[in-house]
Amino acid sequence: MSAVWAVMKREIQAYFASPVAYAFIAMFLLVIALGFSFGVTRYALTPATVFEKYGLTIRTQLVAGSWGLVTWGNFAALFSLPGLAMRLLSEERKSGTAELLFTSPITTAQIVIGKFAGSVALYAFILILTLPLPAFLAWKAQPELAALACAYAGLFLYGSVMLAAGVFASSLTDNQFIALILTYALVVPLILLEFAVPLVRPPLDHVLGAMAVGYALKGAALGSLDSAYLVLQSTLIVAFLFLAVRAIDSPRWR
Amino acid sequence: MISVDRLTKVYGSRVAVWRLSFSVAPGEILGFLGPNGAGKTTTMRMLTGFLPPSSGTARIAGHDVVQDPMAVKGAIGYLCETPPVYLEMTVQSFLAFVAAIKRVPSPQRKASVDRAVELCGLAAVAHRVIGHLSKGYRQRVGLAQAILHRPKVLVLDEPTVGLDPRQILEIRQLIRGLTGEQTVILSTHILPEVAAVCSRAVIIAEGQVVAEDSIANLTARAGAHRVRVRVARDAPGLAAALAALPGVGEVTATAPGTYAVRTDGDDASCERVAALLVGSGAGIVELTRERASLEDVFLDLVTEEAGEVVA
Repeated sequence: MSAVWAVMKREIQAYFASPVAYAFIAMFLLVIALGFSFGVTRYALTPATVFEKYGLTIRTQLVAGSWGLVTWGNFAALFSLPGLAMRLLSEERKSGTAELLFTSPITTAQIVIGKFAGSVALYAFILILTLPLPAFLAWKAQPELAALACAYAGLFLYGSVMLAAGVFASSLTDNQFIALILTYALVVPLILLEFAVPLVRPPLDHVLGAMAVGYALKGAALGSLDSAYLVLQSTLIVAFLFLAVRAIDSPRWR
Repeated sequence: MISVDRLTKVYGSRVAVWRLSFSVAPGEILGFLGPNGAGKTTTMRMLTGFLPPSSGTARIAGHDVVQDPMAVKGAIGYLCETPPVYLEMTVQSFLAFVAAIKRVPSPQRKASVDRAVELCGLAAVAHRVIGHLSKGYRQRVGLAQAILHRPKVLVLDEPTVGLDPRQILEIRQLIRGLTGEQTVILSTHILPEVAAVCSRAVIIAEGQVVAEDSIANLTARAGAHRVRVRVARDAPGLAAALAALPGVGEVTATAPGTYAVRTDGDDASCERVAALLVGSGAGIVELTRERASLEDVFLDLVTEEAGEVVA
Protein backbone atom coordinates (compact mmCIF):
# COMPACT_ATOMS: atom_id res chain seq x y z
CA MET A 1 0.00 0.00 0.00
CA SER A 2 2.79 2.40 0.89
CA ALA A 3 4.34 1.74 -2.53
CA VAL A 4 1.07 2.71 -4.28
CA TRP A 5 0.95 5.80 -2.11
CA ALA A 6 4.57 6.70 -2.99
CA VAL A 7 3.92 6.32 -6.73
CA MET A 8 0.73 8.37 -6.47
CA LYS A 9 2.39 11.13 -4.48
CA ARG A 10 5.26 11.34 -6.95
CA GLU A 11 2.82 11.52 -9.82
CA ILE A 12 1.01 14.47 -8.26
CA GLN A 13 4.33 16.24 -7.63
CA ALA A 14 5.27 15.62 -11.26
CA TYR A 15 2.03 17.22 -12.44
CA PHE A 16 2.71 20.37 -10.51
CA ALA A 17 6.29 20.50 -11.79
CA SER A 18 5.19 20.42 -15.41
CA PRO A 19 3.95 23.40 -17.44
CA VAL A 20 2.05 21.03 -19.73
CA ALA A 21 -0.12 19.88 -16.86
CA TYR A 22 -0.90 23.48 -15.92
CA ALA A 23 -1.95 24.12 -19.52
CA PHE A 24 -4.42 21.22 -19.45
CA ILE A 25 -5.75 22.28 -16.04
CA ALA A 26 -6.23 25.82 -17.34
CA MET A 27 -8.00 24.47 -20.40
CA PHE A 28 -10.40 22.47 -18.26
CA LEU A 29 -11.24 25.45 -16.07
CA LEU A 30 -11.57 27.81 -19.03
CA VAL A 31 -14.00 25.56 -20.91
CA ILE A 32 -16.21 24.89 -17.91
CA ALA A 33 -16.18 28.50 -16.65
CA LEU A 34 -16.87 30.11 -20.04
CA GLY A 35 -19.56 27.56 -20.84
CA PHE A 36 -21.19 28.05 -17.46
CA SER A 37 -21.12 31.86 -17.76
CA PHE A 38 -22.72 31.52 -21.15
CA GLY A 39 -25.40 29.26 -19.66
CA VAL A 40 -26.10 31.59 -16.76
CA THR A 41 -26.45 34.53 -19.16
CA ARG A 42 -28.92 32.62 -21.34
CA TYR A 43 -30.79 31.54 -18.22
CA ALA A 44 -30.98 35.08 -16.87
CA LEU A 45 -32.24 36.44 -20.19
CA THR A 46 -35.02 33.85 -20.46
CA PRO A 47 -38.39 35.28 -19.29
CA ALA A 48 -39.88 33.63 -16.21
CA THR A 49 -43.07 32.74 -18.10
CA VAL A 50 -41.11 30.37 -20.35
CA PHE A 51 -39.80 28.50 -17.29
CA GLU A 52 -43.31 28.03 -15.95
CA LYS A 53 -44.75 27.00 -19.30
CA TYR A 54 -42.14 24.24 -19.94
CA GLY A 55 -41.42 23.27 -16.34
CA LEU A 56 -37.77 24.31 -16.52
CA THR A 57 -35.68 24.57 -13.38
CA ILE A 58 -32.10 25.37 -12.42
CA ARG A 59 -31.53 21.63 -12.35
CA THR A 60 -32.71 20.98 -15.89
CA GLN A 61 -31.07 24.06 -17.35
CA LEU A 62 -27.97 25.03 -15.41
CA VAL A 63 -26.79 21.67 -14.07
CA ALA A 64 -27.89 19.34 -16.86
CA GLY A 65 -29.18 20.57 -20.20
CA SER A 66 -27.26 21.93 -23.13
CA TRP A 67 -26.01 24.99 -21.26
CA GLY A 68 -25.48 23.17 -17.98
CA LEU A 69 -22.46 22.71 -15.76
CA VAL A 70 -22.26 18.97 -16.43
CA THR A 71 -22.41 19.40 -20.20
CA TRP A 72 -19.53 21.82 -20.12
CA GLY A 73 -17.69 19.68 -17.59
CA ASN A 74 -18.10 16.79 -20.00
CA PHE A 75 -16.52 18.85 -22.79
CA ALA A 76 -13.73 20.10 -20.56
CA ALA A 77 -12.91 16.56 -19.48
CA LEU A 78 -12.82 15.34 -23.06
CA PHE A 79 -10.40 18.12 -24.00
CA SER A 80 -8.03 17.94 -21.07
CA LEU A 81 -8.03 14.55 -19.32
CA PRO A 82 -6.46 12.48 -22.13
CA GLY A 83 -3.71 15.10 -22.16
CA LEU A 84 -3.16 14.61 -18.45
CA ALA A 85 -2.99 10.82 -18.75
CA MET A 86 -0.83 10.49 -21.85
CA ARG A 87 2.52 10.81 -20.10
CA LEU A 88 1.82 8.50 -17.16
CA LEU A 89 3.60 5.40 -18.45
CA SER A 90 5.03 6.40 -21.83
CA GLU A 91 7.29 8.99 -20.24
CA GLU A 92 8.77 6.41 -17.86
CA ARG A 93 9.76 4.33 -20.81
CA LYS A 94 11.21 7.21 -22.74
CA SER A 95 13.28 8.65 -19.90
CA GLY A 96 14.61 5.30 -18.68
CA THR A 97 13.01 5.58 -15.25
CA ALA A 98 10.95 2.51 -16.15
CA GLU A 99 14.11 0.56 -15.36
CA LEU A 100 14.06 1.93 -11.82
CA LEU A 101 10.36 1.16 -11.29
CA PHE A 102 10.43 -2.32 -12.76
CA THR A 103 13.59 -3.37 -10.91
CA SER A 104 12.17 -2.24 -7.57
CA PRO A 105 10.32 -4.61 -5.27
CA ILE A 106 6.86 -3.37 -6.24
CA THR A 107 4.41 -5.05 -8.59
CA THR A 108 3.27 -3.73 -11.95
CA ALA A 109 -0.27 -3.48 -10.58
CA GLN A 110 0.95 -1.25 -7.74
CA ILE A 111 2.67 1.03 -10.24
CA VAL A 112 -0.34 1.22 -12.54
CA ILE A 113 -2.80 1.80 -9.68
CA GLY A 114 -0.52 4.43 -8.13
CA LYS A 115 -0.28 6.31 -11.39
CA PHE A 116 -4.01 6.10 -12.05
CA ALA A 117 -4.72 7.26 -8.49
CA GLY A 118 -2.34 10.18 -8.97
CA SER A 119 -4.16 11.36 -12.08
CA VAL A 120 -7.56 10.86 -10.43
CA ALA A 121 -6.40 12.89 -7.44
CA LEU A 122 -5.39 15.70 -9.79
CA TYR A 123 -8.78 15.48 -11.50
CA ALA A 124 -10.51 15.69 -8.12
CA PHE A 125 -8.41 18.77 -7.40
CA ILE A 126 -9.55 20.32 -10.70
CA LEU A 127 -13.18 19.58 -9.82
CA ILE A 128 -12.64 21.31 -6.47
CA LEU A 129 -11.33 24.33 -8.37
CA THR A 130 -14.65 24.48 -10.26
CA LEU A 131 -16.67 24.68 -7.02
CA PRO A 132 -17.00 28.49 -7.21
CA LEU A 133 -19.39 27.91 -10.12
CA PRO A 134 -22.05 25.99 -8.15
CA ALA A 135 -21.26 28.24 -5.18
CA PHE A 136 -22.26 31.16 -7.38
CA LEU A 137 -25.52 29.35 -8.18
CA ALA A 138 -26.17 28.77 -4.50
CA TRP A 139 -25.48 32.42 -3.79
CA LYS A 140 -27.78 33.81 -6.48
CA ALA A 141 -30.45 31.11 -6.55
CA GLN A 142 -31.68 28.01 -4.76
CA PRO A 143 -30.30 24.97 -6.62
CA GLU A 144 -30.99 21.51 -5.20
CA LEU A 145 -27.68 20.74 -3.51
CA ALA A 146 -28.20 16.96 -3.54
CA ALA A 147 -28.67 17.02 -7.31
CA LEU A 148 -25.54 19.13 -7.66
CA ALA A 149 -23.56 16.65 -5.59
CA CYS A 150 -24.90 13.85 -7.75
CA ALA A 151 -23.82 15.73 -10.87
CA TYR A 152 -20.30 16.11 -9.48
CA ALA A 153 -20.15 12.41 -8.61
CA GLY A 154 -21.18 11.64 -12.20
CA LEU A 155 -18.48 13.94 -13.60
CA PHE A 156 -15.88 12.37 -11.32
CA LEU A 157 -16.70 8.84 -12.46
CA TYR A 158 -16.88 9.89 -16.11
CA GLY A 159 -13.43 11.48 -15.90
CA SER A 160 -12.00 8.49 -14.05
CA VAL A 161 -13.01 6.16 -16.89
CA MET A 162 -11.29 8.50 -19.32
CA LEU A 163 -8.13 8.56 -17.19
CA ALA A 164 -8.11 4.76 -16.93
CA ALA A 165 -8.35 4.57 -20.72
CA GLY A 166 -5.47 7.05 -20.84
CA VAL A 167 -3.35 4.88 -18.52
CA PHE A 168 -3.93 1.90 -20.80
CA ALA A 169 -3.12 3.90 -23.95
CA SER A 170 0.01 5.23 -22.26
CA SER A 171 1.14 1.70 -21.44
CA LEU A 172 1.13 0.79 -25.12
CA THR A 173 3.65 3.28 -26.47
CA ASP A 174 6.60 5.42 -25.42
CA ASN A 175 5.27 8.28 -27.56
CA GLN A 176 2.99 10.61 -25.61
CA PHE A 177 1.27 11.95 -28.70
CA ILE A 178 0.37 8.46 -29.90
CA ALA A 179 -0.89 7.72 -26.39
CA LEU A 180 -3.13 10.79 -26.63
CA ILE A 181 -4.59 9.72 -29.98
CA LEU A 182 -5.07 6.18 -28.67
CA THR A 183 -6.96 7.50 -25.66
CA TYR A 184 -9.42 9.27 -27.95
CA ALA A 185 -9.66 6.15 -30.06
CA LEU A 186 -10.70 4.24 -26.93
CA VAL A 187 -12.96 6.85 -25.37
CA VAL A 188 -14.84 8.28 -28.36
CA PRO A 189 -16.46 4.95 -29.33
CA LEU A 190 -17.54 4.54 -25.70
CA ILE A 191 -19.18 7.96 -25.89
CA LEU A 192 -20.78 7.26 -29.26
CA LEU A 193 -22.25 4.06 -27.83
CA GLU A 194 -25.06 6.21 -26.48
CA PHE A 195 -26.43 6.68 -30.02
CA ALA A 196 -26.88 2.93 -30.24
CA VAL A 197 -29.09 2.88 -27.14
CA PRO A 198 -32.41 3.74 -28.92
CA LEU A 199 -31.64 1.19 -31.62
CA VAL A 200 -31.64 -1.94 -29.45
CA ARG A 201 -34.32 -3.72 -27.40
CA PRO A 202 -34.44 -3.87 -23.64
CA PRO A 203 -32.63 -5.03 -21.62
CA LEU A 204 -29.70 -4.50 -23.97
CA ASP A 205 -30.37 -0.77 -24.21
CA HIS A 206 -29.97 -0.50 -20.46
CA VAL A 207 -26.58 -2.25 -20.62
CA LEU A 208 -25.38 -0.12 -23.53
CA GLY A 209 -26.60 3.02 -21.80
CA ALA A 210 -24.68 2.12 -18.68
CA MET A 211 -21.53 1.39 -20.66
CA ALA A 212 -21.69 4.55 -22.74
CA VAL A 213 -19.51 6.99 -20.87
CA GLY A 214 -21.32 10.30 -20.76
CA TYR A 215 -24.81 8.90 -21.37
CA ALA A 216 -25.64 8.10 -17.80
CA LEU A 217 -23.80 11.27 -16.86
CA LYS A 218 -26.88 13.09 -18.15
CA GLY A 219 -29.03 11.12 -15.75
CA ALA A 220 -26.61 11.90 -12.95
CA ALA A 221 -26.84 15.56 -13.84
CA LEU A 222 -30.58 15.38 -13.29
CA GLY A 223 -29.96 13.85 -9.90
CA SER A 224 -30.30 10.12 -10.48
CA LEU A 225 -27.19 7.97 -10.30
CA ASP A 226 -28.09 4.58 -11.75
CA SER A 227 -26.41 1.69 -9.88
CA ALA A 228 -25.94 -0.24 -13.14
CA TYR A 229 -24.02 2.77 -14.42
CA LEU A 230 -21.82 2.83 -11.33
CA VAL A 231 -21.06 -0.88 -11.64
CA LEU A 232 -20.36 -0.89 -15.38
CA GLN A 233 -18.24 2.24 -15.35
CA SER A 234 -16.20 0.89 -12.44
CA THR A 235 -15.79 -2.33 -14.40
CA LEU A 236 -14.48 -0.32 -17.35
CA ILE A 237 -11.91 1.33 -15.08
CA VAL A 238 -10.75 -2.02 -13.70
CA ALA A 239 -10.63 -3.48 -17.21
CA PHE A 240 -8.47 -0.66 -18.57
CA LEU A 241 -6.07 -0.86 -15.62
CA PHE A 242 -5.88 -4.65 -15.95
CA LEU A 243 -5.08 -4.31 -19.65
CA ALA A 244 -2.37 -1.78 -18.81
CA VAL A 245 -0.76 -4.24 -16.36
CA ARG A 246 -0.93 -7.01 -18.95
CA ALA A 247 0.56 -4.77 -21.62
CA ILE A 248 3.49 -3.83 -19.38
CA ASP A 249 4.11 -7.39 -18.24
CA SER A 250 4.16 -8.72 -21.78
CA PRO A 251 7.70 -9.42 -23.00
CA ARG A 252 7.26 -7.03 -25.91
CA TRP A 253 7.08 -4.02 -23.63
CA ARG A 254 10.76 -3.84 -22.66
CA MET B 1 25.81 -14.56 -4.30
CA ILE B 2 25.13 -14.45 -8.02
CA SER B 3 25.01 -17.58 -10.11
CA VAL B 4 24.12 -17.51 -13.75
CA ASP B 5 23.48 -20.74 -15.58
CA ARG B 6 23.11 -20.94 -19.36
CA LEU B 7 21.26 -17.64 -19.47
CA THR B 8 19.95 -16.91 -22.96
CA LYS B 9 18.08 -14.04 -24.53
CA VAL B 10 16.85 -14.23 -28.08
CA TYR B 11 14.98 -11.46 -29.86
CA GLY B 12 13.21 -13.00 -32.80
CA SER B 13 16.05 -14.47 -34.82
CA ARG B 14 18.73 -12.30 -33.19
CA VAL B 15 20.71 -13.80 -30.33
CA ALA B 16 21.64 -11.20 -27.73
CA VAL B 17 22.97 -13.49 -25.02
CA TRP B 18 23.77 -17.16 -25.57
CA ARG B 19 24.14 -19.73 -22.76
CA LEU B 20 25.97 -17.39 -20.44
CA SER B 21 27.23 -18.95 -17.23
CA PHE B 22 29.31 -17.42 -14.47
CA SER B 23 29.15 -16.84 -10.74
CA VAL B 24 30.15 -14.19 -8.27
CA ALA B 25 31.15 -14.85 -4.66
CA PRO B 26 29.84 -12.68 -1.79
CA GLY B 27 31.78 -9.44 -1.38
CA GLU B 28 33.47 -9.76 -4.74
CA ILE B 29 33.64 -7.00 -7.35
CA LEU B 30 33.25 -8.59 -10.74
CA GLY B 31 34.12 -6.77 -13.92
CA PHE B 32 31.81 -7.58 -16.77
CA LEU B 33 33.72 -6.72 -19.90
CA GLY B 34 32.84 -6.70 -23.50
CA PRO B 35 32.77 -4.54 -26.58
CA ASN B 36 29.67 -2.47 -27.28
CA GLY B 37 26.78 -4.67 -28.31
CA ALA B 38 28.22 -7.80 -26.69
CA GLY B 39 25.11 -8.30 -24.55
CA LYS B 40 26.26 -6.67 -21.31
CA THR B 41 23.17 -4.53 -20.79
CA THR B 42 20.82 -7.35 -21.78
CA THR B 43 22.49 -9.64 -19.23
CA MET B 44 22.21 -7.04 -16.48
CA ARG B 45 18.57 -6.43 -17.31
CA MET B 46 17.89 -10.14 -16.98
CA LEU B 47 19.75 -10.28 -13.65
CA THR B 48 17.70 -7.38 -12.27
CA GLY B 49 14.37 -8.81 -13.40
CA PHE B 50 13.73 -6.07 -15.93
CA LEU B 51 13.87 -8.49 -18.86
CA PRO B 52 12.67 -12.08 -18.74
CA PRO B 53 15.32 -14.51 -20.03
CA SER B 54 14.43 -16.71 -23.01
CA SER B 55 15.95 -19.69 -21.23
CA GLY B 56 18.45 -20.54 -18.52
CA THR B 57 18.42 -19.40 -14.92
CA ALA B 58 20.00 -16.77 -12.76
CA ARG B 59 19.95 -16.76 -8.97
CA ILE B 60 20.69 -13.71 -6.89
CA ALA B 61 21.18 -14.05 -3.13
CA GLY B 62 19.57 -17.47 -3.43
CA HIS B 63 16.46 -16.31 -5.29
CA ASP B 64 15.60 -17.20 -8.86
CA VAL B 65 15.02 -14.14 -11.04
CA VAL B 66 12.06 -15.69 -12.82
CA GLN B 67 10.40 -17.58 -9.99
CA ASP B 68 10.89 -15.07 -7.21
CA PRO B 69 11.35 -11.66 -8.85
CA MET B 70 10.19 -9.64 -5.84
CA ALA B 71 12.86 -11.16 -3.57
CA VAL B 72 15.51 -10.56 -6.23
CA LYS B 73 14.40 -6.98 -6.75
CA GLY B 74 14.56 -6.38 -3.01
CA ALA B 75 18.13 -7.68 -2.87
CA ILE B 76 19.60 -5.65 -5.72
CA GLY B 77 20.50 -2.07 -6.43
CA TYR B 78 20.70 -1.28 -10.12
CA LEU B 79 22.26 1.64 -11.91
CA CYS B 80 21.38 1.42 -15.58
CA GLU B 81 23.23 3.06 -18.41
CA THR B 82 21.30 6.33 -18.32
CA PRO B 83 20.77 7.20 -14.65
CA PRO B 84 17.09 6.50 -13.93
CA VAL B 85 16.20 9.85 -12.37
CA TYR B 86 13.14 12.07 -12.56
CA LEU B 87 14.51 15.35 -13.84
CA GLU B 88 11.78 17.49 -12.29
CA MET B 89 12.41 16.24 -8.73
CA THR B 90 14.94 17.47 -6.22
CA VAL B 91 17.70 15.06 -5.19
CA GLN B 92 16.25 14.73 -1.70
CA SER B 93 12.65 14.08 -2.78
CA PHE B 94 13.77 11.66 -5.49
CA LEU B 95 15.79 9.61 -2.99
CA ALA B 96 12.87 9.66 -0.54
CA PHE B 97 10.67 8.27 -3.32
CA VAL B 98 13.21 5.56 -4.08
CA ALA B 99 13.39 4.65 -0.38
CA ALA B 100 9.62 4.15 -0.41
CA ILE B 101 9.49 1.96 -3.52
CA LYS B 102 12.53 -0.06 -2.37
CA ARG B 103 10.49 -0.84 0.76
CA VAL B 104 12.83 0.75 3.27
CA PRO B 105 10.76 0.79 6.50
CA SER B 106 9.50 4.33 6.99
CA PRO B 107 11.29 5.08 10.28
CA GLN B 108 14.63 4.34 8.56
CA ARG B 109 13.96 6.20 5.34
CA LYS B 110 15.40 9.51 6.33
CA ALA B 111 18.59 7.92 7.65
CA SER B 112 18.97 5.86 4.45
CA VAL B 113 18.58 8.93 2.27
CA ASP B 114 21.07 10.88 4.39
CA ARG B 115 23.59 8.04 4.20
CA ALA B 116 23.31 7.80 0.39
CA VAL B 117 23.60 11.58 0.04
CA GLU B 118 26.69 11.54 2.24
CA LEU B 119 28.35 8.56 0.52
CA CYS B 120 27.80 9.93 -2.96
CA GLY B 121 28.89 13.47 -2.08
CA LEU B 122 25.50 15.00 -2.84
CA ALA B 123 25.09 17.15 0.27
CA ALA B 124 25.73 20.38 -1.63
CA VAL B 125 23.01 19.70 -4.20
CA ALA B 126 20.48 17.80 -2.06
CA HIS B 127 17.81 20.45 -2.51
CA ARG B 128 18.41 21.17 -6.17
CA VAL B 129 16.30 19.92 -9.06
CA ILE B 130 18.02 16.95 -10.75
CA GLY B 131 17.37 18.36 -14.25
CA HIS B 132 19.58 21.35 -13.37
CA LEU B 133 22.56 19.22 -12.30
CA SER B 134 25.59 18.29 -14.38
CA LYS B 135 25.96 14.83 -15.85
CA GLY B 136 28.45 13.87 -13.16
CA TYR B 137 26.03 14.75 -10.40
CA ARG B 138 23.17 12.96 -12.13
CA GLN B 139 25.35 9.87 -12.28
CA ARG B 140 26.00 10.17 -8.57
CA VAL B 141 22.27 10.51 -7.92
CA GLY B 142 21.87 7.33 -9.96
CA LEU B 143 24.46 5.60 -7.80
CA ALA B 144 22.82 6.96 -4.64
CA GLN B 145 19.48 5.41 -5.62
CA ALA B 146 21.23 2.08 -6.24
CA ILE B 147 22.95 1.89 -2.84
CA LEU B 148 20.20 3.59 -0.82
CA HIS B 149 18.54 0.45 0.58
CA ARG B 150 21.88 -1.31 1.27
CA PRO B 151 21.25 -4.04 -1.31
CA LYS B 152 23.25 -7.25 -1.06
CA VAL B 153 24.05 -7.06 -4.74
CA LEU B 154 24.89 -3.97 -6.73
CA VAL B 155 24.54 -4.08 -10.50
CA LEU B 156 26.24 -1.18 -12.24
CA ASP B 157 25.96 -0.73 -15.99
CA GLU B 158 28.78 1.47 -17.29
CA PRO B 159 28.82 3.67 -14.18
CA THR B 160 31.55 6.03 -15.37
CA VAL B 161 30.54 6.55 -18.96
CA GLY B 162 30.54 10.21 -20.00
CA LEU B 163 32.21 11.52 -16.86
CA ASP B 164 35.34 13.65 -16.66
CA PRO B 165 38.54 12.02 -15.35
CA ARG B 166 38.20 13.46 -11.85
CA GLN B 167 34.59 12.26 -11.56
CA ILE B 168 35.61 8.84 -12.84
CA LEU B 169 38.20 8.58 -10.06
CA GLU B 170 35.63 9.60 -7.48
CA ILE B 171 33.05 7.09 -8.66
CA ARG B 172 35.67 4.32 -8.69
CA GLN B 173 36.75 5.22 -5.18
CA LEU B 174 33.14 5.07 -4.11
CA ILE B 175 32.68 1.62 -5.62
CA ARG B 176 35.90 0.36 -4.06
CA GLY B 177 34.70 1.76 -0.75
CA LEU B 178 31.72 -0.59 -0.87
CA THR B 179 33.93 -3.69 -0.98
CA GLY B 180 33.12 -6.28 1.60
CA GLU B 181 29.72 -4.89 2.32
CA GLN B 182 28.27 -5.61 -1.08
CA THR B 183 28.72 -7.90 -4.03
CA VAL B 184 29.19 -5.78 -7.10
CA ILE B 185 28.91 -6.58 -10.76
CA LEU B 186 30.17 -3.79 -12.93
CA SER B 187 29.90 -3.70 -16.68
CA THR B 188 32.21 -1.64 -18.77
CA HIS B 189 34.12 -1.54 -21.99
CA ILE B 190 36.83 0.58 -20.39
CA LEU B 191 39.59 -1.82 -19.41
CA PRO B 192 41.61 0.19 -16.91
CA GLU B 193 38.40 0.50 -14.95
CA VAL B 194 38.31 -3.23 -14.39
CA ALA B 195 41.98 -3.32 -13.45
CA ALA B 196 41.41 -0.43 -11.03
CA VAL B 197 38.29 -1.67 -9.31
CA CYS B 198 37.62 -5.35 -9.85
CA SER B 199 39.15 -8.49 -8.44
CA ARG B 200 37.88 -10.73 -11.19
CA ALA B 201 36.53 -10.31 -14.69
CA VAL B 202 34.21 -12.04 -17.08
CA ILE B 203 34.83 -11.14 -20.69
CA ILE B 204 32.00 -11.61 -23.12
CA ALA B 205 31.74 -11.16 -26.85
CA GLU B 206 28.68 -11.68 -29.00
CA GLY B 207 26.64 -12.83 -26.04
CA GLN B 208 29.05 -15.57 -24.90
CA VAL B 209 31.69 -15.84 -22.20
CA VAL B 210 35.16 -15.89 -23.73
CA ALA B 211 37.11 -15.72 -20.46
CA GLU B 212 36.44 -15.73 -16.74
CA ASP B 213 39.33 -15.34 -14.32
CA SER B 214 41.14 -13.08 -11.88
CA ILE B 215 42.74 -9.98 -13.36
CA ALA B 216 46.24 -11.34 -12.61
CA ASN B 217 45.55 -14.67 -14.30
CA LEU B 218 43.96 -13.01 -17.28
CA THR B 219 47.03 -10.87 -17.88
CA ALA B 220 49.31 -13.85 -17.35
CA ARG B 221 47.25 -15.76 -19.86
CA ALA B 222 48.31 -13.36 -22.56
CA GLY B 223 51.50 -15.45 -22.30
CA ALA B 224 54.87 -14.04 -23.27
CA HIS B 225 56.01 -10.79 -21.81
CA ARG B 226 57.59 -8.11 -23.89
CA VAL B 227 60.77 -6.14 -23.45
CA ARG B 228 61.11 -2.81 -25.15
CA VAL B 229 64.62 -2.02 -26.30
CA ARG B 230 66.01 1.21 -27.69
CA VAL B 231 69.62 1.54 -28.75
CA ALA B 232 71.75 4.53 -29.74
CA ARG B 233 73.49 2.89 -32.72
CA ASP B 234 71.32 0.48 -34.61
CA ALA B 235 73.23 -2.22 -36.45
CA PRO B 236 71.92 -4.63 -39.09
CA GLY B 237 71.67 -8.11 -37.70
CA LEU B 238 70.93 -6.92 -34.16
CA ALA B 239 67.34 -8.12 -34.40
CA ALA B 240 68.43 -11.52 -35.63
CA ALA B 241 71.04 -11.79 -32.86
CA LEU B 242 68.40 -10.98 -30.24
CA ALA B 243 65.96 -13.47 -31.68
CA ALA B 244 68.58 -16.18 -31.52
CA LEU B 245 68.92 -15.88 -27.73
CA PRO B 246 67.37 -18.66 -25.61
CA GLY B 247 64.02 -17.63 -24.12
CA VAL B 248 63.48 -14.94 -26.68
CA GLY B 249 60.75 -15.18 -29.25
CA GLU B 250 59.82 -12.83 -32.00
CA VAL B 251 61.68 -9.51 -32.36
CA THR B 252 59.99 -6.69 -34.21
CA ALA B 253 61.37 -3.25 -35.03
CA THR B 254 58.78 -0.69 -33.99
CA ALA B 255 60.89 2.37 -34.92
CA PRO B 256 64.50 2.91 -36.03
CA GLY B 257 66.65 1.63 -33.18
CA THR B 258 63.64 0.41 -31.22
CA TYR B 259 62.59 -3.23 -30.89
CA ALA B 260 59.80 -5.07 -29.20
CA VAL B 261 61.29 -8.33 -27.94
CA ARG B 262 58.98 -11.12 -26.88
CA THR B 263 60.41 -13.17 -24.03
CA ASP B 264 59.19 -16.05 -21.92
CA GLY B 265 58.95 -13.64 -18.99
CA ASP B 266 61.92 -15.16 -17.19
CA ASP B 267 64.38 -12.75 -15.53
CA ALA B 268 67.30 -14.69 -17.05
CA SER B 269 66.07 -14.10 -20.59
CA CYS B 270 65.83 -10.41 -19.86
CA GLU B 271 69.36 -10.45 -18.53
CA ARG B 272 70.64 -12.19 -21.67
CA VAL B 273 69.03 -9.49 -23.82
CA ALA B 274 70.79 -6.78 -21.80
CA ALA B 275 74.13 -8.63 -21.92
CA LEU B 276 73.94 -9.05 -25.68
CA LEU B 277 73.16 -5.38 -26.20
CA VAL B 278 76.02 -4.27 -23.97
CA GLY B 279 78.41 -6.69 -25.69
CA SER B 280 77.42 -5.51 -29.19
CA GLY B 281 78.30 -1.92 -28.30
CA ALA B 282 75.00 -0.65 -29.67
CA GLY B 283 74.56 1.48 -26.55
CA ILE B 284 71.41 0.84 -24.52
CA VAL B 285 69.25 3.91 -24.20
CA GLU B 286 66.19 2.15 -22.87
CA LEU B 287 65.32 -1.31 -21.66
CA THR B 288 61.76 -1.64 -20.37
CA ARG B 289 59.92 -4.73 -19.36
CA GLU B 290 56.30 -4.50 -20.47
CA ARG B 291 53.61 -6.71 -19.05
CA ALA B 292 50.71 -7.63 -21.27
CA SER B 293 47.90 -5.26 -20.40
CA LEU B 294 44.29 -6.19 -20.09
CA GLU B 295 43.87 -4.53 -23.48
CA ASP B 296 46.03 -7.20 -25.07
CA VAL B 297 44.07 -9.96 -23.40
CA PHE B 298 40.83 -8.41 -24.38
CA LEU B 299 41.76 -7.81 -28.00
CA ASP B 300 43.30 -11.26 -28.23
CA LEU B 301 40.21 -12.97 -26.88
CA VAL B 302 37.67 -10.90 -28.72
CA THR B 303 39.36 -11.07 -32.11
CA GLU B 304 40.10 -14.76 -31.61
CA GLU B 305 36.43 -15.30 -30.95
CA ALA B 306 35.39 -13.26 -33.96
CA GLY B 307 37.81 -15.27 -36.12
CA GLU B 308 36.34 -18.54 -34.89
CA VAL B 309 32.84 -17.37 -35.62
CA VAL B 310 33.78 -16.45 -39.18
CA ALA B 311 35.52 -19.79 -39.64
